[in-house]
Amino acid sequence: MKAILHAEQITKVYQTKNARHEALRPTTLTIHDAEFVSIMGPSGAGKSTLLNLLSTIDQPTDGTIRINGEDVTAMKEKQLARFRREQLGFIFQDFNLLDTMTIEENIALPLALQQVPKADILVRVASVARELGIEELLAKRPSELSGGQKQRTAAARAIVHQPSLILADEPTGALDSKSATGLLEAMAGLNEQGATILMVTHDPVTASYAERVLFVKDGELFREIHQFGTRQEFFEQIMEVQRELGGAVRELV
Amino acid sequence: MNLFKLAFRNLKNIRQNVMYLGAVTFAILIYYTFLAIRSNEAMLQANELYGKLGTVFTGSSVILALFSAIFIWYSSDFFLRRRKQEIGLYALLGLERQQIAKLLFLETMGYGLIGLLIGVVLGTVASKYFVQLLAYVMGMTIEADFSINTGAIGQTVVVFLTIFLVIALRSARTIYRFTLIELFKAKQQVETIPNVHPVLAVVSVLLIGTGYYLTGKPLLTHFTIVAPILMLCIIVGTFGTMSYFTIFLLRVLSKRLRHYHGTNLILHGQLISRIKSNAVMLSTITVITAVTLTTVGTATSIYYYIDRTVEEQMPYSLSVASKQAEAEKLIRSSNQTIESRTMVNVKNVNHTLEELPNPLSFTTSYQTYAFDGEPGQFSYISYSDYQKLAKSNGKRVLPEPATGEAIVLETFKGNELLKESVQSPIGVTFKDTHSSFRITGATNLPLTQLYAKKRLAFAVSDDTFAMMPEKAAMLTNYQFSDERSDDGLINRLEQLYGKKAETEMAAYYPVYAMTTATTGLLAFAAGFLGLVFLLATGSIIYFKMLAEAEESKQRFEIIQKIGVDPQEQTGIIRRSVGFMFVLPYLLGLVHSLFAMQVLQKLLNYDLRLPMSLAIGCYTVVYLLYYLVTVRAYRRIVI
Repeated sequence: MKAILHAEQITKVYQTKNARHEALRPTTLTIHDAEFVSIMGPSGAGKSTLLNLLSTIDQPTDGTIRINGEDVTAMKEKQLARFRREQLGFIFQDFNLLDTMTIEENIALPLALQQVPKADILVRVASVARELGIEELLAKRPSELSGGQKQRTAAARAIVHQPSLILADEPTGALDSKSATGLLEAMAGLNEQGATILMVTHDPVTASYAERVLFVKDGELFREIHQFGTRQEFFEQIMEVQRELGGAVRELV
Repeated sequence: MNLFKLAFRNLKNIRQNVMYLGAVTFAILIYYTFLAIRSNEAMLQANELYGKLGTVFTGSSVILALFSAIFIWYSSDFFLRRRKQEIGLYALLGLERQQIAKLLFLETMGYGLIGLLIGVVLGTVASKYFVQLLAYVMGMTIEADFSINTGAIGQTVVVFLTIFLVIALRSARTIYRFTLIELFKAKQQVETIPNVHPVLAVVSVLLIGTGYYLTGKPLLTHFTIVAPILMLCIIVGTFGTMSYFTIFLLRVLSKRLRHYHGTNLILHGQLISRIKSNAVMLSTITVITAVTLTTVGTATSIYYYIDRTVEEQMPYSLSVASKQAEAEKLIRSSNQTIESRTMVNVKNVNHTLEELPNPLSFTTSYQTYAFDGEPGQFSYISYSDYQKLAKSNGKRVLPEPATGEAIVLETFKGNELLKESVQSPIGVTFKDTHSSFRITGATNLPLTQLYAKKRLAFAVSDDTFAMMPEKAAMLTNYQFSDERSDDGLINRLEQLYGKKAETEMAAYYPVYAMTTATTGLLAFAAGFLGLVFLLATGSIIYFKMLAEAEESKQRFEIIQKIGVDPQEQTGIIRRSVGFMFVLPYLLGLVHSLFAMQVLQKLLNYDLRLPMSLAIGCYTVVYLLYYLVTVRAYRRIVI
């Protein structure tokens, strides 16, 4: 299987005059094509740091990250921006939709930035919106939508340009359980069709939709488990590891 | 820690608030400087006219005070908005509302006092240089010093303390207007998308169009009726255009193909969401820009053409109608050297015409018309005198008129305001009490600049002249080498003529000095106000855009993550800030061009050069403001 993302011994150290904080100890991980991977861990374990590094929003202190064969740690700011808009799709906890634009325009943004012709853009947007069940909402503004609808819009924006990798940061964090289920099923559906997804969450139910869960603790990869049976069994497995981890048990649903 | 200490501590955090303090100080500086110039002792002593023109300054200072109030209001609004979260924090930490209100009040007053202190000190320095500049444009030489003007300080303090009091009360009220959650979420307002009103958009543009049309013929025929209607059309049209047409325009723009091209999507969204809340500001700035450009343009034009105006009124350095020998002696004993001297014998002949044929009716010469039973008079000179006069004035000499013919010594200017056109004087006949003449030639040779002696003048053949029974009077015109200076000659001449000075002599210098001083003062006041208006409009847009930048921070974070690189982000900022700057500038410019075109008709001068100068200066400063705003915006969001 082809590796979409490969991080080799990446670290992140915050150094100030009198303090040194290792947010991420040397970590190596690989994500393959069409995989759906979750990263779990208690608050402050380094999940967000890891995600920021992998999504090229932040640069590692040491180590290299290759996405789709390209070394992103060697890229300049401008190249990185270009790389992000072409190769990556983002879903954030707080949606991060632009309230000044319609849903249609929000979804179209990555394509517009890539200078795709207008006609093609509209076709792509319509098809993605249908896939995610938001085709009725295209003319509305983000402020008129429910949380679940907003997150579907964000998901549509994340996949519209068919990126190599979709990065989701607590995508269900601001949703009620019904909307969350809907979104996760939609994401699983996208994964079925070949999308590669990397998701950070601290919610075991959310994580159980992935095929593989990586646990982070104190800035290190702690454990990795794979789904073999049903989602219910996988959920039990995740809970077990969490119990071992200790810290985050109280966050259970 | 008591409130005073806390307020003082916040005041010391000057870095964050340097722009606000700067704006406040600037307003005070300008106002104080203006007052200080008005009551400058050196100027008052040097020119009595200066004191009399105090009303120009008083009017201007009222406008300035109003402006400062608006200006400080805008900047403090930005300042408050920026601090909403901090205010929320105080509330969260358990400060009572009343205490927070007091704190905000103290801080605002504190900044006001600091601004007053710096403003007055800087103003004292600045006023010295401004006084020198003023003296220069008024054609005076004076020694200005750094004088402290208690009257001006007093007035500045009173005016600005009042402004600050109002604004401090308003700041203090903020805390009562908002709930705690609103204070924290201040930056996450829901953007409402404005509706398009195509009819209103079209009506607004039509109103402006009507206004422009009215500046043509209708204004010139019925000035008093049309002028207010025109102003109303333009102002209402401007507000309508900024409120409705811009939205219409942006919506049309976002339907176009280019909408889905690169960062246009983001830009259009940004512009559309803000346009409604910016419409009033944009229209205000358009109107101010138009007024400023017109005022400064007019003042520049008038100042630019002083020489020509005075030259037309006073073609000679000196005209005398009697005591020629004594006058000559006085001139010879002065510093002036005589470049040329023309003496002509003039006969004034009565006539009874109450109406003169076109174009003779356009004469501005005194006592030419018969009026109310009193006869009018024409002046005649002989052809020989005409030749002398033409030669010394460097004019081509026309052939001698035959009997019954005459050369008219005046050229006529039409009056576009009255829509009267000038016909050629050649072939026109006129009649005095003795005989009638047909005009065979026309030239511009004023016989004198003595107002009381001026009549419409003609040159006739030497024989005809000799046969006129009237007694000839001698008029002498001098051209001096340096008519723009005076070593007391004028004064001595006036003593020579005594009571008759007004009717028997007329000199270039006093008119020149007076005109330069008046127009210089007007130009200075207009320029000063123009500068202030310009800086104020620039700053208003600046603060408004920075407030917007604070609110757009999150939006830029999002697009940064999505992969819009910093260069493209800068592009969005440039274009959205540019839109706010260009729109009022362009519309204001076109407004002022239409206004200036009316002025051009009134003055009959070509105003293109002085206007371009004024517009050029304005544009440069405006451009600087744009660049500074883009920089500051960038620093906030990127």
